[in-house]
Amino acid sequence: MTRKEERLLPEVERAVRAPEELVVVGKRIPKSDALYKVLGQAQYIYDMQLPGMLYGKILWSERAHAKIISIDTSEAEKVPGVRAVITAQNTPEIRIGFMKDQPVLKKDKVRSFRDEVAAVAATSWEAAEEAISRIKVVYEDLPGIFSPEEAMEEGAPLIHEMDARGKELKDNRIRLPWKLVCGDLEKGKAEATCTVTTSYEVPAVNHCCMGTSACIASFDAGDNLTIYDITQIPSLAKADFLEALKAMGAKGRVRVITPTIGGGFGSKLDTYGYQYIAMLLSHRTKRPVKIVFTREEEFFATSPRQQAKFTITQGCDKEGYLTFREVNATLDNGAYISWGATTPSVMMMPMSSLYRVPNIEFKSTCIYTNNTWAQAMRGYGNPQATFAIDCNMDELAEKAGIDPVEFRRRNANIPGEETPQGFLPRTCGHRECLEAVVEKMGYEGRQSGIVEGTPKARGMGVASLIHVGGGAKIYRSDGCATSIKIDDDGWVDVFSGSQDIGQGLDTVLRQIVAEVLGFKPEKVKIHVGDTDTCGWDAGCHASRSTFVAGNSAKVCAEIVRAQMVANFAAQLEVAEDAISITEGEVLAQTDDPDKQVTKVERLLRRAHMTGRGNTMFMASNFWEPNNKLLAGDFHGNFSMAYTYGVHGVELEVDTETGQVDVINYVAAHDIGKAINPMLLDGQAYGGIMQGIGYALTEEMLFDKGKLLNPNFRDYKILTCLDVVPIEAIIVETDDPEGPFGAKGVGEPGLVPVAPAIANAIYDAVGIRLRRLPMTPDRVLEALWAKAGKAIA
Amino acid sequence: MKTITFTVNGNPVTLDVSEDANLLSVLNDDLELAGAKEGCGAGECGACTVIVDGVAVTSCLYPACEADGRVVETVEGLVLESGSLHPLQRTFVDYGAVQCGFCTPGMVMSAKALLDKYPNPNEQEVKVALAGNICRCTGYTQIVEAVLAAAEEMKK
Amino acid sequence: MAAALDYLRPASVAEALSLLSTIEGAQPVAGATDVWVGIRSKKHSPKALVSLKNIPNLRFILPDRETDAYEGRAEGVTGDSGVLLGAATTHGDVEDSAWMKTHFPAVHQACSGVGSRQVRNVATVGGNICNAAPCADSAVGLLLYDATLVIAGPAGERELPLSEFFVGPGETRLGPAEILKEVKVPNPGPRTYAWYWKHTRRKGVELPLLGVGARVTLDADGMVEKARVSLGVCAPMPTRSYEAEKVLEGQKLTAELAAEAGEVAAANALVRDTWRGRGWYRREMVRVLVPRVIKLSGALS
Repeated sequence: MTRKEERLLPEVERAVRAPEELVVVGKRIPKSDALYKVLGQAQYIYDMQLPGMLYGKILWSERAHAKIISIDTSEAEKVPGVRAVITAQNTPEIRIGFMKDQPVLKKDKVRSFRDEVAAVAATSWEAAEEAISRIKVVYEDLPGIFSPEEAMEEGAPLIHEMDARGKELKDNRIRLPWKLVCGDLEKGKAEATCTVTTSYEVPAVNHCCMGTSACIASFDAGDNLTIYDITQIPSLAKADFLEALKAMGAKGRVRVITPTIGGGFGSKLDTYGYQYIAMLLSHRTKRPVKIVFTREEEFFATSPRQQAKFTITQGCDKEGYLTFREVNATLDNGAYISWGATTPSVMMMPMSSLYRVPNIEFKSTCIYTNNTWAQAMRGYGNPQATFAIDCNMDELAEKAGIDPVEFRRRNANIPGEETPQGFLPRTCGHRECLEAVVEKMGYEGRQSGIVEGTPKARGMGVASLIHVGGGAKIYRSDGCATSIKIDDDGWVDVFSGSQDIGQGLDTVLRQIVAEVLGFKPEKVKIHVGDTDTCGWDAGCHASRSTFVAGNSAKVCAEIVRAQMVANFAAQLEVAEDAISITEGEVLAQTDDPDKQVTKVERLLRRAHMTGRGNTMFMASNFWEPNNKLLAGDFHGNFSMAYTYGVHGVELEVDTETGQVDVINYVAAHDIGKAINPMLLDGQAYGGIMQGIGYALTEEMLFDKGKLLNPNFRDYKILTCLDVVPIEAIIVETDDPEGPFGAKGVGEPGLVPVAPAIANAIYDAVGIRLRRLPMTPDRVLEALWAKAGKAIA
Repeated sequence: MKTITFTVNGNPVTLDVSEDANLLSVLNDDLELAGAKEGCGAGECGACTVIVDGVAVTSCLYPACEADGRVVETVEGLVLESGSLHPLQRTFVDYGAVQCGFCTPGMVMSAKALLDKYPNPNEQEVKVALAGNICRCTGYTQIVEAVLAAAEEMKK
Repeated sequence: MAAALDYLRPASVAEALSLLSTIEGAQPVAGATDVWVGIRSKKHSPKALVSLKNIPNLRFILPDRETDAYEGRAEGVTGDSGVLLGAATTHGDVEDSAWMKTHFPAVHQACSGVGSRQVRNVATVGGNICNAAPCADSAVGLLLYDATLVIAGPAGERELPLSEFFVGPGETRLGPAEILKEVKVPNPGPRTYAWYWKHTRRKGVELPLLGVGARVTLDADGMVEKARVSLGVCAPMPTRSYEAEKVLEGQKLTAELAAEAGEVAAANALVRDTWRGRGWYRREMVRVLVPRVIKLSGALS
């Protein structure tokens, strides 16, 4: 079935591992902090009080695009309890975002309804709110631009007149050169006997973290900032905050501490204006200042996954092998630049490497508009791109006269083959995932179409995914630091630069360290989220934590273990290779029955407290993956491993109401090795339900830049009653680079859901839906269009 | 201000509350019971769920004055007299029903209200009872499993 | 600061009425779920809330004595005479009432779909009616049974058919010093079939895209003696489709007749485009769902 194998890598040399008996890794161990969470004792910023703490509130812009003529804060300052009112006029300018196109407090102009115009710190929420309501801002409206198309028109008003360096801008296009070329597109087109061109549209969707955004900023007398925060990127956030301190003229240091985080999903991958506002207010008042978003603020003032449009053409030869893929994407970036503007860098991954396709051209343009500005969300650009790719795959298969599953089988990725973008997947279970899903769903024997005697039609669809599973080198370092100390009482502390946002990194690291050390997992405590005690890490993103933080912790634990083994061997007077440690007991191969089994605590204590020893076991390790920063042409192996998956869905379409009911869902993921199958299931279930929301119900609705549905009543996040039966299949390919063979899996569950559902809808009723979400009215509209019926 | 007296987790309390205060703020701020949390402030997410007079309510929409004379249970009162976890707390831990945990106290209280009244629910009844508790992390599957498992355990 | 809010808890209807007539800007509440959201978002600033939650004999489902809601109201109607609901009866009380499920399935269905279980545990049937949202599920359900409202005011009690109660969104014929006390639902008679369907995008905790109720009472010969079709979100208030009812009454009930009722209801529906839903879709759903709901009621079998 495979053809041209010339790009195959040399056979990977695998360390021949003795068939090891894993004691902790691979087990369904509860999440480390679950106990505190079911007791209501886990501490979120929401719960925190500091002595003398003030409450901060933000005045958001009342215009989508306007000049600020004046801001009158005099009435606000008179409100009892108010301690500070700040605007751009009375604070130093702090610019944020990686292209620094945004001042925290807006001075001359607002560019969206979420622009921060002023802020207040007061002794109560009520006083702060009251003061905010008394600030008077005079605006002079400017014409608003609410779509990339309008923004690109000749003579469209400029949203930014100049860039951060003061260079004049000529149009609203963002200067980021997202273009990927692989192979020879024209050659690929010439080889194709069948091509299909289609266009797709995806909406802005919100992360909907249950804990809303919050922080407490506090300065001590030495101008040192401690900020209690919910960031996914403690080390990078610290660097951002330090830069702000400089702008504020504060010479102190920054400590970022994250208590329990109420969900992340990418939302906390950049720093936001409110964090700097808390800092400014705290610096002004010399008191801790807490800001907590209301749910409404969480909806309109945090950065969603962005609206995007794709046009894609793919072609295949007579045998059904892909010969080329050509894609143009237009992204509504919103008013300022955050990571949303870089999602094309991740879109390139499926564009180049999902299915085997030799000739590729992908171009993407990000455009400023007066809408909310976009950020990372689970999968980054991958779900958007995969929706376009895998829906178009189905159409191409049909046109080529090949069953959609067979078409994917022919074009499935294979291990050891360098992809056109230069990725080197050592392990790849794409085909195993496909076969597992097809078999479990009973795809071959399916009966598509109308269920007799009902208005409902049934169908099945599949879609695939590739995602980085071994880090992603988007900064110059993609590493993670770990420190481990073992006290002589047998308790282990692990300080990891990484972060837990609920997904269970704390538990995965605990299992890895306990496994290496041979300790019971409950003896191992993982500390994350304190930049004073934990080393550097690139952040909790890109499904990298299990792989990168896991490898870092594993290597660090191996160093400590070697220290222990050398010492224990001396204590027990045996050779080092005669020592093994398992479940907190040291086993020695010796004839002396007194030395055969010893509690590890005993040997630890003796190592420390005897004159002979005076040793404590501790080590630090910074682990940098051997992946490459993408070159200027975006080629290169930017992850050490790649995660694959195939999702299959069976659903019913009500042909009279347009309602879609998912009745069965099968998802297979090649994750290398499951460190904790229970947490892995949780990532799959959670990702898939978010994906079903993206496919069918969720959408941020804007009217000229104003969010219409900033609440759970009108933003249709799925509930418990919407749960579908999900079979999560784990395919283990034992990646040679992953910790115990594991690859990352945080994001993949969401990636292929929408195309799988769209393809199943086609199988059921023969309509192609190319716009998300696929709401009942859109489904019905398409059914009517197919029947030649016009809507009134 | 109004003086109210009610029972929280078996203990009588008397305090002065503002007329526009909700029960959630009284629990969080005055009684320092932080388990119930504000996720939306509009009764649409369930993170603030507590039990009042035997039924689950969203405490963000419950006027504090209305709690006068009533019996309130929060997640902090769930641990059994023996000091061991309530079966729901144990199964939530053991079945992976907890990720970020922000929704967990409210979720557990909705489940408890259900099991107190209907010790033998089927899957659909569990889903109906928990539909008002939004969870963005877990996709609910392991939560429903945990509630059904707790119901089984409580029958023993 | 915003004007201080008072929260009053009268112990009798008379006391409540006296508070409402003496305090300007006082508002009666029961579960307070809707009102509280309004106060919090500052869309609404009543001077005082007069809680009806502590007044005895406002929360009951007569004659069902099995529910939590039964407060031992001494006099009342019997099963043969229909049902009498106290205005402070919660949606959860109705949801938990097997009796309601048997005798008034459409009301049971409508009440069971309001908000979440937590909201249903405090939000009352009376509050849902008086709040007068175009989508009020329980009102759409009760319209099917020709419910009458018992309203208490300074001049005593008066009765008003539910179908005449609504004026517009959030507007009713309830006077500022009046409270809704009871909802009287006559016995619909034998051979009555009814159902309520809430059409939504997701399955839990939803406002309806459309609420559709249908009820038919057949005579001994199987002809439609009485028909009711009610709609939520099809007009500025919960409404009946009198035109569809006319199509059904006096006829032999068939699938074709039900479909015709749907066509007529759709043709007359006052739907419009909003960002929450498109008018053409709502109209089409009226056409599709009216016959479906008639079928679900069991009347066709």
